[in-house]
Amino acid sequence: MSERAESAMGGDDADLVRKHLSGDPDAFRLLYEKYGDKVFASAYRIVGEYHAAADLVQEIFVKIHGELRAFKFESKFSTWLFRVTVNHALNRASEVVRHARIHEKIVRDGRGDPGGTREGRPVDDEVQTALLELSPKLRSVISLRYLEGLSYEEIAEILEISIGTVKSRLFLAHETLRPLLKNVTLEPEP
Amino acid sequence: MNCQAFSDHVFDYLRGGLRGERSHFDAHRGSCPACAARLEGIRENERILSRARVPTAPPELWPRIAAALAEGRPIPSRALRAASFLAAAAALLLAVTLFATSRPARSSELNLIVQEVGPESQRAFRSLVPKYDDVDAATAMVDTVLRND
Repeated sequence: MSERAESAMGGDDADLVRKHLSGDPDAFRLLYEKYGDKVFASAYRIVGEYHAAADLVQEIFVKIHGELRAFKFESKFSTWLFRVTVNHALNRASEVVRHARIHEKIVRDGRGDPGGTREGRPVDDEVQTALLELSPKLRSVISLRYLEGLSYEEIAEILEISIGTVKSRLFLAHETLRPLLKNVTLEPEP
Repeated sequence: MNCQAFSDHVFDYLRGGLRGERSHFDAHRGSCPACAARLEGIRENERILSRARVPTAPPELWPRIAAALAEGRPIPSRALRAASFLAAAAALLLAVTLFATSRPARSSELNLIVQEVGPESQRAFRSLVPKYDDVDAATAMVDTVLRND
């Protein structure tokens, strides 16, 4: 991350948005540097496929580049960005997951990669495999809570649901995940 | 407190909230093994989820985005290609299934079918067939995934 993005980390996203809108050519890249990995992680957790997540992030940043003029500064930029991310990922999840299953099966069958759409896998396969058993809506709540570390209030604002619904979706997600994660062995913390 | 109220309050409890209700919550936990097990299950899940590694964006992603913005339109993405692959495979599955119900597929006849569909379908399904030895195996694989979806 560049020094400029680093200093923006603790600063004001709205300021970067204003600079972008006023024509600063670096401002949008700085927003990407600040949020690109977080948006990617959320997209990856929801769609469950590395390259598909990268495509979604590309689409999301191109989309928000065009839509930032409509940003009303009434909510935090990060809230707005995650809302766009989750909605976009949810819209695409079923299509991407279905495709990922075909590729998963081909790779599992030891027949290689039919379309060159998959390269390597993250080390936390067991968790990701378990998450893919959740519905996309439950997956997005888990992702925002435990990967982004957002509060129930922030998740409710992003997903435009009540805090009670956030908690009930989390509860259901945990019930589903428990048998799937019970055999996961964590390495001792350093 | 009953089991429903316990599940309503469990995340507040884990977050250290529930000041007034905490003793009721603890009392129910002590008397209901199922809810006690749920609480421990959520704790264990949270421990695992918090330790799961989060993938980072590929380094070439910003150059892709910058190029797309410079062109004024999104670069055709891998996801879109992936979607067309699936659509193509599904379309061809239908054609091949109709063909296979009448008689066994031979490669020359399969080629005739493939020529009837679009170029995406041709490329997609032809890339699958050699990996699955024959048309039936490739068709069965796509069919299984689509039916399980």
